[in-house]
Amino acid sequence: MLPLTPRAPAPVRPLRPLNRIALLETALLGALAALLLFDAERGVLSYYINPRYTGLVLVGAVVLLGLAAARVPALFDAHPLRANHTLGYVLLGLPLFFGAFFPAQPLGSDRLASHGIGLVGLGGNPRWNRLPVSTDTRTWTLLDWSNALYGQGARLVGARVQVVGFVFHGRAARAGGAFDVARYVVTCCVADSACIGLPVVWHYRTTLRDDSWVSVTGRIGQVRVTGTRQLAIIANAVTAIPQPANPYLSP
Amino acid sequence: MNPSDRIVVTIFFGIFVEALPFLLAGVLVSSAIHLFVTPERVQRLLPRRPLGAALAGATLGLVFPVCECGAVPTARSLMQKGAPVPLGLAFMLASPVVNPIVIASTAVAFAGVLGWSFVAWRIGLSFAIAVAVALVLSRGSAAQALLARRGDDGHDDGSNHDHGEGPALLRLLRHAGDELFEMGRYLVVGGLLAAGLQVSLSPAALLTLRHGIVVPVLIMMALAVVLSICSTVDAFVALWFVGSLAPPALLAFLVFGPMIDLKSTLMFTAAFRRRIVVGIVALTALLVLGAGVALQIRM
Repeated sequence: MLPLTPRAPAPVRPLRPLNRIALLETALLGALAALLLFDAERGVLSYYINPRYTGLVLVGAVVLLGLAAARVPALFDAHPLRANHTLGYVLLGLPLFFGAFFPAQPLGSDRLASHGIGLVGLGGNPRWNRLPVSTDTRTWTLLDWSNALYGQGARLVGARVQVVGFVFHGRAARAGGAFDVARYVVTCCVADSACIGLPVVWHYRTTLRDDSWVSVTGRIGQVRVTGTRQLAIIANAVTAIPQPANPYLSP
Repeated sequence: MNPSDRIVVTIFFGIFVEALPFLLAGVLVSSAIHLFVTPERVQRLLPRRPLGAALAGATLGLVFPVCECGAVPTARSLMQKGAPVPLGLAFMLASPVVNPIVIASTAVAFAGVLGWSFVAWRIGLSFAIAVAVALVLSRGSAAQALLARRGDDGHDDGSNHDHGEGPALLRLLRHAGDELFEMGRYLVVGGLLAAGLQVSLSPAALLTLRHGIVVPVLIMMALAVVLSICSTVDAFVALWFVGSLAPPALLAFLVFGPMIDLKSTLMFTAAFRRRIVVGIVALTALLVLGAGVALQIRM
């Protein structure tokens, strides 16, 4: 029997120093991808873009994950990446900073104070000559109403309305009406947003604040706003509702 | 948080999120050219004479359908591989419009409203102006005098990094990551500027100045720069203004915006020297303004 002799310990390979630049780049790319995926999961991407493009953003997030994964082997690379993208790191970190510290919120009445309702609304767009598909006017959105009222406003007086939007105490309130029910139309992203809305005549006192979401039921009528006759919703019910999953109308 | 700041953040995030996939597509295409296309092949396949190169560059968008965010890195890679400068310049300016996606979106938006001739005007004018700018700015100058200074491997930060050995996909993704860090900063700065301007300027106020011959064209060019929206969807945005503005002003918006906006202009500085970037912006603006005013008078 051989005498037991202690075995020499296996040589320990020294850990290579961590390549901090590769770590920063991997983290930044991974975090950007995570931010996009997290926003998609929470349903807040629709606060920024037309939901039609969500798939494209998700593909972008997957590509970002791929870019991050491709940098992992460089974490312990003896020949560290030598590119100097300091400014790029800081600037690409900004969306992460905004995403982490500024809660996602859709555009609302704040923007209307300077931009107003109906820059493009209720007049001027040829698409508004096209009638909405449904003949049941209670299913029409504010965009459908814009389409219809542009072409044949007077003929729609008396039509039944049920629309969803946020409250804005702007021109309607100043003119003695109750409020405007408004909604942003976003074609691509919020950079091209435009707000459309209709005055709501509501004869009951209301504590609804700007940006609260309501469902308004009534009929189309004509009222005098700042000296001119204008179409409005003569409401018989105004109900507070939660904000819709997509706060914008997305043609 | 101040409401204005919140709006700026929201609009910036919208621009960033919307443009990022297109920028990623651009840096992937650009990296593929950088890594897998040899200068010999580029020089063999592409025309060398300025006019032929500019014409080829203005039509290359039909093969590489990229918007303005993807066009700059792709053009830069082509020029690094020895493509003539007029080709790179014309591609950079024309491809955001002269590509199948944008032609289709313009047709969907406008063919039924202002007719096919309007669609043809957008494509034709973008093509002609891109070719003209490319020929004028590259005339009599060596490529080195026009292109931004760059490191040995073509990166303008002076770095000389390699992308190591390994599978082609790994090298492609590593290079694309580097390009993203380089080009992404322009997207962020351009997006922030555009968002800030959108909050401080009211488009409604701008449109009160829509009367006359010159001013509407100028206003829509300015609006295109401020909005900085992607060329793949700008036709639908222009549609909003059809009843308010004459077609030439809309054309100015649809031709100038994809060529020159805040984020793409900043990206140009990654490919060209600053004086050339100033020349690109000034000459493109003059040509679009001239064409827009001429069409206004003709109407």
